[in-house]
Amino acid sequence: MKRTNRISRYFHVPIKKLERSSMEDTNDSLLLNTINTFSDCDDLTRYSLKNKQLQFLYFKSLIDKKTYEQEVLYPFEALKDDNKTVSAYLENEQFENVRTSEDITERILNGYIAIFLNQSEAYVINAFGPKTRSIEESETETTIVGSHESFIESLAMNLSLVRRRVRSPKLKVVYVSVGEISRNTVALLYIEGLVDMELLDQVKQKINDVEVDIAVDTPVFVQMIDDFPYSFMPQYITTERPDVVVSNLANGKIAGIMDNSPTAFLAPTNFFDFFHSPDDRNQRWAVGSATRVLRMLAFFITLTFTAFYVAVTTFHYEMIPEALLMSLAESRNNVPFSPLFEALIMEVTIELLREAGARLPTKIGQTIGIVGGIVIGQSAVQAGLVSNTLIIVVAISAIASFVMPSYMISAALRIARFGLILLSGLLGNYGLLIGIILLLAHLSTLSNLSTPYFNPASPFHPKELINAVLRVPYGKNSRRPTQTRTQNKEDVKSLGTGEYE
Amino acid sequence: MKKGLSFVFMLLLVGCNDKYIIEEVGFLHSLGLDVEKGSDMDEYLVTGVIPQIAPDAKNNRELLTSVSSSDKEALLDLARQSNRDVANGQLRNVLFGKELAEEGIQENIRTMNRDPKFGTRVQVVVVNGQANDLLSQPYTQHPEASQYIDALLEKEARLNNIPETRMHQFTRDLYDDGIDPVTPILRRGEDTVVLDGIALFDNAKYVEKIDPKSSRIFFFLLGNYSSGSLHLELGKGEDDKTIQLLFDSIQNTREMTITNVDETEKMKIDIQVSIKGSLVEYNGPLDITKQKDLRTLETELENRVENRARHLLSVLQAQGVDSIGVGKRVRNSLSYEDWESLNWKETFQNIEINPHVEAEIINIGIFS
Amino acid sequence: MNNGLGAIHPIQLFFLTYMMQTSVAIFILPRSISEAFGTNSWIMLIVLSGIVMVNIFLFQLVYKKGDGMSVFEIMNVTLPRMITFPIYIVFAVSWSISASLILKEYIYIIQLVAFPTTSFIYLLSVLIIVVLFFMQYPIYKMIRAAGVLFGLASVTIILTVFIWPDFSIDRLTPFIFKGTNVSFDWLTIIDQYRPFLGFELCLFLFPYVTKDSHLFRSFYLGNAFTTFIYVYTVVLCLGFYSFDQLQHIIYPTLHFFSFIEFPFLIRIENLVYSIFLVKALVTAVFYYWISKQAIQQIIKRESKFWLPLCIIAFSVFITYPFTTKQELELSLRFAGRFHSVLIFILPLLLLLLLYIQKKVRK
Repeated sequence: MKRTNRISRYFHVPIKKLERSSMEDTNDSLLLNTINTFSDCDDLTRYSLKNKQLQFLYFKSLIDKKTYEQEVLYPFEALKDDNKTVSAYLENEQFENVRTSEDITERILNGYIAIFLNQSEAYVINAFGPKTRSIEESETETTIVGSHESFIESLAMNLSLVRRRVRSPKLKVVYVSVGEISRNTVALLYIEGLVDMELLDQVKQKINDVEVDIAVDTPVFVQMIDDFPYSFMPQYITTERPDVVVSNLANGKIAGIMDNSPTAFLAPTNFFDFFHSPDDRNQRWAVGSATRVLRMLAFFITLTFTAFYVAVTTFHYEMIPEALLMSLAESRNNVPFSPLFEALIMEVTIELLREAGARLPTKIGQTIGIVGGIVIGQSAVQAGLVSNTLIIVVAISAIASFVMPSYMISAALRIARFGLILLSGLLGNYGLLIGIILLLAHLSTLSNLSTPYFNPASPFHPKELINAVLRVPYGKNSRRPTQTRTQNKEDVKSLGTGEYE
Repeated sequence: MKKGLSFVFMLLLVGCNDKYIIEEVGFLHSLGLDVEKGSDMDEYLVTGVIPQIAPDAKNNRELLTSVSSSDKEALLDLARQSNRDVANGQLRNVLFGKELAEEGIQENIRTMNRDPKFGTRVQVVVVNGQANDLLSQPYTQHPEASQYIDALLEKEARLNNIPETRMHQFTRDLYDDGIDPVTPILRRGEDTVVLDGIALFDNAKYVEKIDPKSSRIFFFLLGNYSSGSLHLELGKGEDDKTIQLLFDSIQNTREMTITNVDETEKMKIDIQVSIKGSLVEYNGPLDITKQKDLRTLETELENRVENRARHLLSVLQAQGVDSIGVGKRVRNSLSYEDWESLNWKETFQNIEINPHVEAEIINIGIFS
Repeated sequence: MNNGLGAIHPIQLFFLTYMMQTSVAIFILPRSISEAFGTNSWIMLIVLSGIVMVNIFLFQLVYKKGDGMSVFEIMNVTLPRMITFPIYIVFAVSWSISASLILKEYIYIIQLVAFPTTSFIYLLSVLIIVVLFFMQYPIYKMIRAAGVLFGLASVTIILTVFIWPDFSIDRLTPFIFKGTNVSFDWLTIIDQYRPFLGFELCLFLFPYVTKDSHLFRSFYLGNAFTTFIYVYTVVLCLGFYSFDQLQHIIYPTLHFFSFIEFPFLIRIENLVYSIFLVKALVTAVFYYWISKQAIQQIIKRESKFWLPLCIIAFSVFITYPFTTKQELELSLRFAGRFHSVLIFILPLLLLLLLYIQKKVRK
């Protein structure tokens, strides 16, 4: 609970009421105390005016220069060199009198300028305004049709992106802070009346329970608040797209946005959420449904195709139709390795290529593609190291894994694939099925915010499952998912105006 | 606990021994079984064809033969001749030489069914002659004999010129008391394999074959089928030319009515066959563009088919093989005790079976 | 807690019933039932299913009279430990042996079909790892996982569609219960009751369900579905095989999948027997769970790993000598007989106990 009272401790939001520490610093030491706290912080700027009657303390890197000049520097320079006038000016509403050095320190860290009058009295003014990048298109979640905006590293801007889309007082934003040292703020967004308050409390509780020094980014942070830290599956869906956030808020979910992170997370998440892309919703239902079916197919291919190839070529030769059998056997004829080893070599190679491509700048990344595709693929076959059928199999499953809209799930499935390949190589179909059973059992027993992770499939809600695997036309799709436990199950058409009761 | 599980998981890595890595397996594609001539003992001459996968081998198949007293032992003997594990999981055709088929193949069928690797889709074929002979020929127009045979059988089965008799159907009919099994029969032609009609089995013994020209008629009597064509000669025309008729895209239905089931002697069976199709070729005197003449031709067609069906039935009855499954119908209209006490084979030979054919020419093509 | 994590949904129980009842027995069911009752033996399945319904009704009576008290509670309240402990041990032994026999039967089949020379123990230990993995979960998660695995198992039902073209109603024959040498007596019926076993799980689920779970409705429906699948399978086999042929085929249900051919895949039975692992597994896991519950009444200590491991090891040890087909079949038959009688007598006994309790209280 000790962190809940830090919710209000936030920089570019007007702070209504400050809890003051009981013991007030002696006025004399206020400036000194503050400066002492910032000892060795060479980026702190101290500026004196009027014969050191006025002293400013601030981080140049956190404030907006224009605000500083217009609100602080020029007005004070223009003032008469007289204590009374200065005090009178400091009575203006943009200035706030602060008594303790802790408060001052915190404000300075949040982009305020501290103004010390005669070293004893301190006032602060908000001048937060560091440079941020402009809103661009998301690189990890691209769509063809629809909005091209994505979140950036500024919370204010991110909130603005959501608020612009939901013009309703029912859109609530709650601040929670994490990180013992970093003191990051997480804004929890939800729509009042749609969200289940119990779930919201759970999220808050989980965030409060996080014990970490610095929460670097949302993807790191969400791993600290999931139910199953040992699972290999991603458990909170993360997105960079405000439109995804908004459509999930409308389903009664909770969105969390952390400052300095362009990624938002959504809770509660289920497995099928990872297979949805805004493009499905933007397209006509038939196209959207076909795409979702394609993704489910890609899911099975990613997981099992190479494994099945290994199982069949190692143990169940009788399962291959005659026409395929000859070409398969011929292509395997000169390969010195067993199918299992061959498949592992190729899968690792593909992973190497993918990782290399991801780490390199785009221009060099293309070269990797050429080197990987032509040199390794072609020559490995010619040298008789791997069979060309295997290259096709591995390539297809690699491509299938990139069909997933969420990079997280695609990476997790690729890991699971290695397990299945190994089991297939050892025990054939029997092993493959054991792998699949273990995977399904794992998926169906996971939970997210203590709601089932595999939701419409288990517990079984047939209508929702159809909705998750297909994209039903909008008229028909008028119920919110059960996972969010929303009290308001019927979909509301007039979400934007806030009249949904 | 977790450690315990992971330790046991290590056990998994032992793997199992039953690996059949695809390129190390010599999958038998066709298997020929013959009785070895000349020897006083009953010995099998077994021929196995394994497609070659080594690209620089001269022959694109491995032909292995062995003579031994049982077919299983022969398989072991075949394996000794190959550099790969000879396995029968991909077997497509089993060819029985005529002599062996005449002696009965019940035991072989039984053994093949017992082997779980064998599968139920293996084609059972009789060779008019020796299976070894048929398989070992280097057919110059076809790269590989067994695949050639396989494709030939598949195509003909699709056109309803031969029944689809895979291991499953053969075994099924073998064990059914109301029908006798049939298989396709092949013979060797000049550098080709020729379909020689339908082999009729009495239990598991080959007794007779039906001419390929009549095989479509056989299907009229067997059940409801579509596709396939029928060629008929309708006597001599004006200028001493035989009148040819080709009836194509045939759809036929069969219905069987049994009268006097209870009295064995008086039992009478009527087989109502109706065939529909398009007339592709006709060079007779009738003007087929006229409705009336077309009707006449239909009647002519009906009579011809009926005669040939009657002839076919007489062949079946003479041999006492109920290959068209009349018995199933009779069984289903009798009580269990009556059927058990009935000697169906004998009854089948003596009862009256009449085919009635109804033909309908749907179209005569797109040019009149 | 209608939507809560620990809630058990009716549909999950429905899936569970099906998964519990159908196990590897369905592979031999068409043959065994035809051997026992002759032609058109599927009619007998419906009769047997009726008996199952009565059996479940008895469980329901226990539930109603006992106000949802668990089996163990009912016994603990009335009977002294001298009597209950042996009963619990009988429970544990009976169910764990059944479970291990089911696993062994499955392994026997895959050894026959695919891994003839691989060590039996090796294949079995792989399976036991999976069973142990499942038993780490609390019961509601096991039930949920079983529901998802139903999805996997239902693939085989869909695959049978490709058999339809080769189905002929003629082969079913109009004769009813003819052509069998087996005499029609009680033991035959009890033996054929075995494929339906598995529903007795609902007796042990009393403490875990709420009113919203509709325990008994789900089990009635689940049993109806199982019956439907059984009838469908047997009728399909009777129409696909000829009657005499069927009696020669050891695993008719597995055998007919080998007739299905896809352009990209043939000999589907190689996949099907792997998929059937799901059914054998679920049945075995819950049987082991029942015996674990019984043992826990005695030693009263929660152990997630060692207790199940000991039970499994014990049951495997007991059933170790049964390895050949005849031995396995015989042991399965006797286990099945014992089991069938036990689950019929058990609810009657419990009702009696409840009656005594009521009297005493008055």
